[in-house]
Amino acid sequence: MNKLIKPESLTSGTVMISTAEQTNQTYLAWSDYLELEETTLSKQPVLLEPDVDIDEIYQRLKPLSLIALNFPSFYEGRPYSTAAILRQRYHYQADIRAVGAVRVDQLNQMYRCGFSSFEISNDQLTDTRTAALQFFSSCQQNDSSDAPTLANNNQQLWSKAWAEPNSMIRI
Amino acid sequence: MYQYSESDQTLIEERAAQFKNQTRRFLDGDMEPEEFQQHRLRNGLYLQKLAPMLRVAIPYGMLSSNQLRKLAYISEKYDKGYGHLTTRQNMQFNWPKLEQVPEILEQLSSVQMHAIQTSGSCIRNVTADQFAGVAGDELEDPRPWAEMIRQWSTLHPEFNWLPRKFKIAVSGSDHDRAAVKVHDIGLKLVTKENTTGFQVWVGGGLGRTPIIASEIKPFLDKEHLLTYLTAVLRVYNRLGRRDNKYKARIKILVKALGAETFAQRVESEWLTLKDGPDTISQVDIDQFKRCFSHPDYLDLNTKPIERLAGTDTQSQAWLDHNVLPHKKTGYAIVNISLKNLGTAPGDITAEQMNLIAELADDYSFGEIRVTHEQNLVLADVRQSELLNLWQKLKKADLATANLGLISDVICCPGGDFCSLANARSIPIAEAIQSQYQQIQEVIDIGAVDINISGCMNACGHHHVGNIGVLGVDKKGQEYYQVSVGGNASEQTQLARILGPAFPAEEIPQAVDRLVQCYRQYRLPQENFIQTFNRVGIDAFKVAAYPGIAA
Ligand code: SF4
Repeated sequence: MNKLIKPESLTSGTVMISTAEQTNQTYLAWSDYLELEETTLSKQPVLLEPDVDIDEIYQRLKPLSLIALNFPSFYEGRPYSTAAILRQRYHYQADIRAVGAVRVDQLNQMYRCGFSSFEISNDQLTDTRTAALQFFSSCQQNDSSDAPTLANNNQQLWSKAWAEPNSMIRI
Repeated sequence: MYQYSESDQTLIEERAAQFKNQTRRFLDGDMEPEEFQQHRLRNGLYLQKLAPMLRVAIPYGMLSSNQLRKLAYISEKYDKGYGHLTTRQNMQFNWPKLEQVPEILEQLSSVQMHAIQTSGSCIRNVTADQFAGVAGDELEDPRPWAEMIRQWSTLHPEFNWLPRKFKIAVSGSDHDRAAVKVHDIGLKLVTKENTTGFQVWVGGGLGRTPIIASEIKPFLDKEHLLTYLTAVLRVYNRLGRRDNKYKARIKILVKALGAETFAQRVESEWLTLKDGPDTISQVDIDQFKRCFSHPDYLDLNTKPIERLAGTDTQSQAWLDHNVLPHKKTGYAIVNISLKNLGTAPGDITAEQMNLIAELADDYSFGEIRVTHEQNLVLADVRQSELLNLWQKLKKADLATANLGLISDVICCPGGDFCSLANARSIPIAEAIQSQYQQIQEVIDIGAVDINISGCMNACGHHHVGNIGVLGVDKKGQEYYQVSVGGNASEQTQLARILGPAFPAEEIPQAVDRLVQCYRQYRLPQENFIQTFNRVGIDAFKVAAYPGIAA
């Protein structure tokens, strides 16, 4: 059984899981979506595979209120770039969801690339595992997590502040 | 030395805490081995043949004396009292216990060190010229840029799951000591109309398919460094092959698309990022530079000395070969060779680490550098102190005068430690070194780089050795393929295979036949690689396989 973690349950710095609802959302594959695009069914969310060329298809995705990106394995890296491009280049403002092999230890990275909801299997949400989310209070890059749908205070907390010489630590 | 800010410190402590949690979950059976593997690799931890191996990052090779003391302490407390320096300016510990690794990481973080991204399919520890800031031929110190790249790449959310590992090197001098053309991205500081910027090389690498990088941007303004790197990484992350790990490096993508097409793709990606939030302002640059402490040089009004004079032949040989000119008058760069016969190349004991830390405090502003050639450097020694320093090094067997000479062999850990190895490499290094122990002869042979790798992963960089030795498996037997003509400097060349592989016991003689061939053909003042380039490979083939016509 999968649960859905929504943007409201994420706060700055740390990904907080306060609400997680059961989900059995189904998604349309991109090829099926293309066939159904003209009909009413096109409201169903679409699930994009990692090899999708987002630049090529973005214009058709634009009206959707949810784009789901599939992680066939937990070490798949392409959807991170796809999400970042959707936020940075196209200023896509609706929901970007991580689906598939979503692991607690990677939620932080996904979130920072612009994912705003996560479909995650129940067994990932044990206490010891979710403890893995509490670790990072800051980061070293600018990123895409300050997309308009997310809490505003993210922007400030999550953008890179280069080292200030007066806070240097001598060892 | 770069001094951590509070946020740098917090970040490495938090990563250490996270890793502790991940290790505990793995040991409790609460994390799949396959998943833990990826997290531990991204924290420099391998599970090797005999024990786990922990690879500690030494960003662009810089160490403070306190950091070196900490490494000594770790090697004694958690390991067998020594560490191994790699060809990528890291230190490896071969015998830690998995359960103790989180504790080691805590120890490291107390001196601003870590093992983050020293392995795994992510951006690895950034490397640079070991003589940064002290070399006479330097255009600009590459270290602030290397540090900026270190910070930017650390736990980068978008580039933590790349198709394969990714290595970046930065050089600030004419003479390339960072081997930028055999890195995934090589950055070389260059000048254009009185401003400095970066020449960007992409797609170089050794390993199974050695390729020299292609230049994709002749001049990149410095403010755009991070947006441009993002563009390269993003193109690679999206298009690099993930179906075959032997074809997953960026060099394969660059080759498949063609360097020009690849460069165009990067360019159009970059145009969407250019001038965005990652653009580096002059304020950022100044702040970065201020985070580096600089040696407090004395104004020594000595005249530049042509040749430093030793007290006997040994000290003279050391001054001639291990001591290099410094850009500041009255100072010198001292190289400490870790290529003493009887010790594995790059290995250093806790005792030696502590001694060198002390010597660094006494003679070189408390700083030490680690080189790609697996040696150490005290970069800022007053010329008047050289002989005192030599005495102390000599007492500790650390004054071997062979820098860049034939017994300064570069060698990976090989079959004695590494589970990927086809063959052992340390005993081969030793067998080769043992035939060159007469200092006069070694000096007469002159500069020769010998590089040994235990398998085609090429950690010993055998493709760019003047003489390269590669361990291969022939029906379960250890054999060695010999190649000639590699060059790791700015005239990067890949070595060419000579012919059939040799069994271990024939390697020393085969190498020596190549050396004698060079001696036979060389012109006055010509070193090995120059003779090779003039004479061609055939003469060396004939020499390597006597009795067989070329
Ligand atoms: S070259 Fe091969 S044997 Fe040597 S350290 Fe690398 S992987 Fe191991």
